Amino acid sequence: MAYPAAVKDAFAGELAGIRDKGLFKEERAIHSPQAAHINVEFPRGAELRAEINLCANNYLGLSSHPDVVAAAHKALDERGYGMSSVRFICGTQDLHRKLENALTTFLGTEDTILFASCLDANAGVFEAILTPEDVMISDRLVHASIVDGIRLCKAMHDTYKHCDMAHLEQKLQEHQDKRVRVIITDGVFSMDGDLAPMDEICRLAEQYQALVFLDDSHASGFIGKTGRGVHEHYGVMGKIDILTTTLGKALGGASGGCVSGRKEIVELCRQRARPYLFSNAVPPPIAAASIKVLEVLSASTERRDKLEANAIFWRKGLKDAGFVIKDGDSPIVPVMLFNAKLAQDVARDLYYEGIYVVGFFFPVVPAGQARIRTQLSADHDIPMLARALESFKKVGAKHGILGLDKKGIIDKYGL
Amino acid sequence: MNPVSKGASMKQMILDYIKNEYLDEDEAEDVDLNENTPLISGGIVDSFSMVSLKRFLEKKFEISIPDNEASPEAFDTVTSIMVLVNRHLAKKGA
Repeated sequence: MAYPAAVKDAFAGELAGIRDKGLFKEERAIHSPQAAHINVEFPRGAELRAEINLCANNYLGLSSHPDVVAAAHKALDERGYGMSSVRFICGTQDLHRKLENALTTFLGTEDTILFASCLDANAGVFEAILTPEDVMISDRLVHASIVDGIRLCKAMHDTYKHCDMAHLEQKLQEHQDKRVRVIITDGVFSMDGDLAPMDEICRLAEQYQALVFLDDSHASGFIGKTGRGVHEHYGVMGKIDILTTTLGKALGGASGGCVSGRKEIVELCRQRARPYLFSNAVPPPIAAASIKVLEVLSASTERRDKLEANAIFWRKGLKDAGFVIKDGDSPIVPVMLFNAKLAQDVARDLYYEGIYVVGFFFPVVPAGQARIRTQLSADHDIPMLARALESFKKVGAKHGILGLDKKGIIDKYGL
Repeated sequence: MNPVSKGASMKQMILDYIKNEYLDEDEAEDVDLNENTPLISGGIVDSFSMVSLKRFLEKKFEISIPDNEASPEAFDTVTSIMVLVNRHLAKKGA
């Protein structure tokens, strides 16, 4: 082993630079299951505080649902802890096939392949199916894992302005000489909570002979009348050629992801996608619990209906209180503060009011668009959210931002 | 065309492209875009979307910019982009 002092100092210097820029991320330990109410240790060693959690991806409150936990226990007893193998050697159980079929039915596609995460799915799919004669045309705000997947692929790439259909059309026209064109978008954009106009995107895809790629990680389980995703919301189920999503958010919250879509594309991923070929199969308890999640969601829309009602209440409450929020139809509700320090100060004050939220600022979001991203869950109820609103109002009043518009906040705090 | 007006038209051409390609209508009013505005470090052009600007320059000025020269630093202002383009134009003319 060699860890020369100069190398150690260089790494330490980089860390110091991250701290100096105010970008150092400190983790907070939760001493309870993931839920609407959590017990948090922060800073490290501090006494536990009871908090209302408004920043989890636990949209449907299934992370600690008793039926889901029981299904995981049963599989742990009957099928073991891990597979000690990739899928194509000896890592495929009947549970994996059952889950892939259940996802295909739930998402309204032709076939599905599981990955260790949706990051892996996004990292592997483009390289598996595209060549240098093809082009990937992505929305400028797609998730970082898609950016990584695009970078790993030899096809040409281009981008269009966020949700700007005229710009997308212009790009599709420019790239008519390519063998394959793929339009790439998130369904719900994770930082803004807005939806990609999938009806328009599918119409353009048809007109210009392009494939449609949709990452529905922040939508699967709850967007659309029966929670199938943004494609259901816009009436274009069956028209998505490549749909990736995660089991790590609404669909149980543990881990795992998938590529779902056209049979040939899924099969090419099975043969070629490197994250699939070179990482272990999803563990049996997660596969079994995910099957249970899809059963629960297929039997009733109660949870997504409650989530929708919570999101409507929350958006209206924040607006009426005088906060600037990003409009949208999702349970992601960004409270805009524009100034990075203000976002951090408001998040800290809310923590000591018993509300767990996090401030986001550049480079996670564009410069001058700092915010607190709140996320609703079916585990929340109206009294809980009413109490959280009171805390937001108290902290908002302390900082003198209630009733101020974007310009007012920027005039007061700068960018 | 004398060198001054040629430079001015190249600058305007690049500025117009950046405005249309990277700024939303509501942003265009807020941003003071000139030849010295930091594009990448200023968050107007993200390094991932820079490729279309590179392709535009290559097509418009009939040059080829190697990937290792299309760095975020070289693309950070219209002034630095013009230095790069002019270097390749001179090479082409030589």
